[in-house]
Amino acid sequence: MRHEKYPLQSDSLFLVFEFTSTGPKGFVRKIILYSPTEVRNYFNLGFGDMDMVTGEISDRSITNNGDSLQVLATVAYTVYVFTARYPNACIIAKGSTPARTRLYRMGLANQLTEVATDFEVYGRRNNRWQVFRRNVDYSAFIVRRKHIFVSS
Amino acid sequence: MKSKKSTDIDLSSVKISEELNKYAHQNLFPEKLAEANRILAETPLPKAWREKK
Repeated sequence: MRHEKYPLQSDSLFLVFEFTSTGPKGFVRKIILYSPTEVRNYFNLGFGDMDMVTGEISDRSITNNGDSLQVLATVAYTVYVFTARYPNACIIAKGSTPARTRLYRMGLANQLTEVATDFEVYGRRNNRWQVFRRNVDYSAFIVRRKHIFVSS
Repeated sequence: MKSKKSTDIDLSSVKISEELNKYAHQNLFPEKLAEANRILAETPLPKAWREKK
Protein backbone atom coordinates (compact mmCIF):
# COMPACT_ATOMS: atom_id res chain seq x y z
CA MET A 1 0.00 0.00 0.00
CA ARG A 2 2.19 2.76 -1.31
CA HIS A 3 -0.45 5.48 -1.18
CA GLU A 4 -1.16 7.46 1.93
CA LYS A 5 -4.17 6.25 3.89
CA TYR A 6 -6.75 8.05 5.97
CA PRO A 7 -6.89 7.34 9.72
CA LEU A 8 -9.37 4.57 10.31
CA GLN A 9 -11.87 3.68 13.01
CA SER A 10 -13.59 0.34 13.45
CA ASP A 11 -16.36 -1.27 15.44
CA SER A 12 -15.23 -3.75 18.07
CA LEU A 13 -15.78 -6.74 15.73
CA PHE A 14 -13.77 -5.24 12.84
CA LEU A 15 -16.77 -5.53 10.51
CA VAL A 16 -17.42 -1.80 10.11
CA PHE A 17 -14.81 0.83 9.29
CA GLU A 18 -15.04 4.57 8.99
CA PHE A 19 -12.78 7.30 7.75
CA THR A 20 -13.19 10.89 6.62
CA SER A 21 -12.29 11.97 3.10
CA THR A 22 -10.95 15.51 3.01
CA GLY A 23 -10.75 17.65 -0.10
CA PRO A 24 -12.27 20.48 -2.11
CA LYS A 25 -15.79 19.19 -1.41
CA GLY A 26 -15.14 19.26 2.34
CA PHE A 27 -15.29 16.40 4.82
CA VAL A 28 -17.08 13.23 3.75
CA ARG A 29 -17.57 10.29 6.10
CA LYS A 30 -16.93 6.97 4.40
CA ILE A 31 -18.32 3.71 5.72
CA ILE A 32 -17.09 0.23 4.86
CA LEU A 33 -19.07 -2.80 5.96
CA TYR A 34 -18.13 -6.46 5.63
CA SER A 35 -21.41 -8.40 5.55
CA PRO A 36 -21.66 -12.18 5.63
CA THR A 37 -23.12 -13.63 2.44
CA GLU A 38 -25.11 -16.83 2.06
CA VAL A 39 -21.85 -18.71 1.41
CA ARG A 40 -19.93 -19.55 4.55
CA ASN A 41 -16.77 -17.48 5.04
CA TYR A 42 -17.63 -15.16 2.15
CA PHE A 43 -18.19 -11.51 3.01
CA ASN A 44 -19.43 -8.70 0.83
CA LEU A 45 -17.41 -5.49 0.89
CA GLY A 46 -19.89 -2.62 1.02
CA PHE A 47 -18.63 0.93 0.76
CA GLY A 48 -20.45 4.25 0.78
CA ASP A 49 -20.77 7.80 2.03
CA MET A 50 -22.60 8.84 5.15
CA ASP A 51 -24.62 12.03 4.90
CA MET A 52 -23.26 14.24 7.68
CA VAL A 53 -26.72 15.72 8.35
CA THR A 54 -29.18 12.84 7.94
CA GLY A 55 -26.82 9.97 8.76
CA GLU A 56 -28.04 8.11 5.69
CA ILE A 57 -25.51 5.86 4.00
CA SER A 58 -25.39 5.49 0.23
CA ASP A 59 -23.07 3.67 -2.12
CA ARG A 60 -24.31 5.76 -5.04
CA SER A 61 -22.92 9.14 -3.99
CA ILE A 62 -20.24 10.79 -6.08
CA THR A 63 -17.81 12.62 -3.83
CA ASN A 64 -15.30 14.08 -6.33
CA ASN A 65 -13.00 15.03 -3.48
CA GLY A 66 -9.87 14.53 -5.56
CA ASP A 67 -8.55 11.79 -3.31
CA SER A 68 -9.66 8.58 -5.00
CA LEU A 69 -6.22 6.95 -4.65
CA GLN A 70 -6.09 7.71 -0.94
CA VAL A 71 -9.66 6.47 -0.52
CA LEU A 72 -8.85 3.29 -2.43
CA ALA A 73 -5.69 2.73 -0.36
CA THR A 74 -7.73 3.14 2.82
CA VAL A 75 -10.37 0.67 1.64
CA ALA A 76 -7.59 -1.74 0.69
CA TYR A 77 -6.10 -1.36 4.16
CA THR A 78 -9.43 -2.45 5.71
CA VAL A 79 -9.07 -5.67 3.72
CA TYR A 80 -5.78 -6.25 5.50
CA VAL A 81 -7.29 -5.43 8.89
CA PHE A 82 -10.44 -7.48 8.32
CA THR A 83 -8.53 -10.53 7.17
CA ALA A 84 -6.06 -10.16 10.03
CA ARG A 85 -9.05 -10.58 12.35
CA TYR A 86 -10.80 -13.17 10.13
CA PRO A 87 -7.97 -14.97 8.30
CA ASN A 88 -10.24 -17.54 6.66
CA ALA A 89 -12.60 -14.95 5.22
CA CYS A 90 -13.03 -14.54 1.48
CA ILE A 91 -14.13 -11.11 0.33
CA ILE A 92 -16.28 -10.36 -2.68
CA ALA A 93 -16.15 -6.84 -4.06
CA LYS A 94 -17.98 -5.15 -6.88
CA GLY A 95 -18.42 -1.47 -7.58
CA SER A 96 -21.91 0.01 -7.38
CA THR A 97 -21.42 1.13 -11.00
CA PRO A 98 -19.28 -0.24 -13.85
CA ALA A 99 -17.02 2.83 -13.47
CA ARG A 100 -16.40 2.00 -9.82
CA THR A 101 -15.73 -1.64 -10.62
CA ARG A 102 -13.11 -0.38 -13.11
CA LEU A 103 -11.64 1.80 -10.35
CA TYR A 104 -11.33 -1.27 -8.11
CA ARG A 105 -9.67 -3.12 -10.98
CA MET A 106 -7.17 -0.32 -11.56
CA GLY A 107 -6.44 -0.10 -7.84
CA LEU A 108 -5.80 -3.84 -7.68
CA ALA A 109 -3.69 -3.74 -10.85
CA ASN A 110 -1.59 -0.84 -9.58
CA GLN A 111 -0.76 -2.68 -6.40
CA LEU A 112 -0.90 -6.20 -7.72
CA THR A 113 2.68 -7.08 -6.85
CA GLU A 114 2.18 -6.17 -3.23
CA VAL A 115 -1.38 -7.48 -3.00
CA ALA A 116 -0.40 -10.80 -4.57
CA THR A 117 2.21 -11.30 -1.85
CA ASP A 118 -0.53 -11.52 0.73
CA PHE A 119 -3.69 -12.41 -1.15
CA GLU A 120 -5.08 -14.67 -3.80
CA VAL A 121 -7.12 -12.50 -6.15
CA TYR A 122 -9.68 -13.65 -8.71
CA GLY A 123 -11.75 -11.62 -11.14
CA ARG A 124 -15.13 -12.62 -12.54
CA ARG A 125 -15.32 -12.76 -16.30
CA ASN A 126 -17.70 -14.68 -18.55
CA ASN A 127 -19.35 -16.16 -15.47
CA ARG A 128 -16.09 -17.69 -14.26
CA TRP A 129 -13.54 -16.75 -11.63
CA GLN A 130 -10.12 -16.26 -13.19
CA VAL A 131 -6.80 -15.48 -11.56
CA PHE A 132 -6.62 -11.70 -11.61
CA ARG A 133 -4.46 -10.20 -14.35
CA ARG A 134 -3.74 -6.63 -15.30
CA ASN A 135 -5.58 -5.08 -18.26
CA VAL A 136 -8.48 -7.52 -18.16
CA ASP A 137 -12.03 -6.35 -17.46
CA TYR A 138 -13.84 -8.08 -14.63
CA SER A 139 -17.34 -7.65 -13.25
CA ALA A 140 -16.42 -8.54 -9.64
CA PHE A 141 -13.50 -9.69 -7.52
CA ILE A 142 -12.85 -12.15 -4.74
CA VAL A 143 -9.80 -12.14 -2.50
CA ARG A 144 -8.55 -14.18 0.39
CA ARG A 145 -5.40 -14.26 2.46
CA LYS A 146 -2.63 -16.55 1.45
CA HIS A 147 -1.68 -18.85 4.24
CA ILE A 148 2.04 -19.38 4.22
CA PHE A 149 3.32 -21.94 6.65
CA VAL A 150 6.95 -21.88 7.72
CA SER A 151 8.81 -23.84 10.36
CA SER A 152 9.13 -21.92 13.60
CA MET B 1 4.54 -24.63 12.46
CA LYS B 2 3.06 -21.18 12.54
CA SER B 3 1.35 -18.99 10.06
CA LYS B 4 3.46 -16.15 8.76
CA LYS B 5 2.10 -13.27 6.75
CA SER B 6 4.21 -10.76 4.94
CA THR B 7 2.04 -7.91 6.18
CA ASP B 8 1.32 -8.14 9.84
CA ILE B 9 -1.44 -5.89 11.07
CA ASP B 10 -1.54 -4.83 14.67
CA LEU B 11 -5.27 -4.77 15.36
CA SER B 12 -4.70 -2.76 18.53
CA SER B 13 -3.50 0.09 16.33
CA VAL B 14 -7.01 0.50 14.89
CA LYS B 15 -9.08 2.93 16.93
CA ILE B 16 -12.35 1.40 18.06
CA SER B 17 -15.47 3.56 17.80
CA GLU B 18 -18.42 2.40 19.89
CA GLU B 19 -20.68 4.37 17.55
CA LEU B 20 -19.86 1.98 14.72
CA ASN B 21 -21.02 -1.09 16.67
CA LYS B 22 -24.64 -0.31 15.77
CA TYR B 23 -23.86 -0.85 12.08
CA ALA B 24 -22.10 -4.20 12.48
CA HIS B 25 -25.16 -6.34 11.86
CA GLN B 26 -27.16 -3.97 9.69
CA ASN B 27 -27.65 -4.51 6.00
CA LEU B 28 -26.41 -1.09 4.94
CA PHE B 29 -25.91 -2.03 1.30
CA PRO B 30 -28.79 -4.43 0.54
CA GLU B 31 -28.46 -4.21 -3.24
CA LYS B 32 -24.75 -4.96 -3.13
CA LEU B 33 -25.25 -7.87 -0.76
CA ALA B 34 -28.03 -9.32 -2.92
CA GLU B 35 -25.81 -8.94 -5.97
CA ALA B 36 -22.91 -10.64 -4.17
CA ASN B 37 -25.16 -13.55 -3.22
CA ARG B 38 -26.39 -13.83 -6.80
CA ILE B 39 -22.85 -13.81 -8.18
CA LEU B 40 -21.68 -16.40 -5.69
CA ALA B 41 -24.64 -18.62 -6.51
CA GLU B 42 -24.16 -18.32 -10.27
CA THR B 43 -20.38 -18.47 -10.52
CA PRO B 44 -18.58 -21.66 -9.55
CA LEU B 45 -15.94 -20.84 -6.96
CA PRO B 46 -12.28 -21.36 -7.87
CA LYS B 47 -11.53 -25.05 -7.52
CA ALA B 48 -8.85 -24.45 -4.92
CA TRP B 49 -11.28 -22.51 -2.78
CA ARG B 50 -14.09 -25.02 -2.68
CA GLU B 51 -14.54 -26.44 0.76
CA LYS B 52 -14.18 -30.14 1.17
CA LYS B 53 -17.48 -31.74 2.12
